[in-house]
Amino acid sequence: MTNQALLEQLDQARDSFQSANVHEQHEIEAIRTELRLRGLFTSKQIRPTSMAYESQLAVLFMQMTRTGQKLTVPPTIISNPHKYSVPTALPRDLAAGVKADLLLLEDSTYSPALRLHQLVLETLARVNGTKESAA
Amino acid sequence: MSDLPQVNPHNQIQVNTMSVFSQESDSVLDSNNNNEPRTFQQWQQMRRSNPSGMAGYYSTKSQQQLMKDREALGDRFYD
Repeated sequence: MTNQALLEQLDQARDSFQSANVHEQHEIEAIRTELRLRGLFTSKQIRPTSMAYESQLAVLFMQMTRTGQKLTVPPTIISNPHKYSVPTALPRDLAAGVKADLLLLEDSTYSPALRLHQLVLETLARVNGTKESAA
Repeated sequence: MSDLPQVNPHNQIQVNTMSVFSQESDSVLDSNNNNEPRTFQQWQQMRRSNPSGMAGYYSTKSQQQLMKDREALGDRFYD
């Protein structure tokens, strides 16, 4: 059941990415850039599939800050993501998110940390040209 | 009196630059801006006009350069 919830969250993020308008694409690209700057998405060779995955995760992180939703990834998936149709880089990038203090991890569940909220709000404010503080 | 040679307008030499340098380029190694860091908006223009290919937005080289520009410009990247 938990596996299904994870897959649904990933599917929803993918659908949002694929249906994003021009403005939303800018937001996704900005968040993806900022996540990369903080140690996520460290693959040397960038392929179209990895770019789609990175954008999908950027959307997922944005959704987590907007809705407060959490991401439960059981240890079985962490160990063998490919067996569960989960992107193989996901465990590594979630761990990088924890290391960067963007995510909190408790009992296999990742939740957005304050720093992720700030990152998303500040980045979207910059992209949207507003000077308002994210605080 | 000027030291400059007089130029006969009928004998002017037409200097043609190579087309690759005379056109506005979206290449990572853009000769028009002396490789000055690009802003987020400039990178997004490139994403729309030249998304794929060896020098396209989604190429490894461009993505690496984008990150360098982000680090070089800091918060001004989004101005």
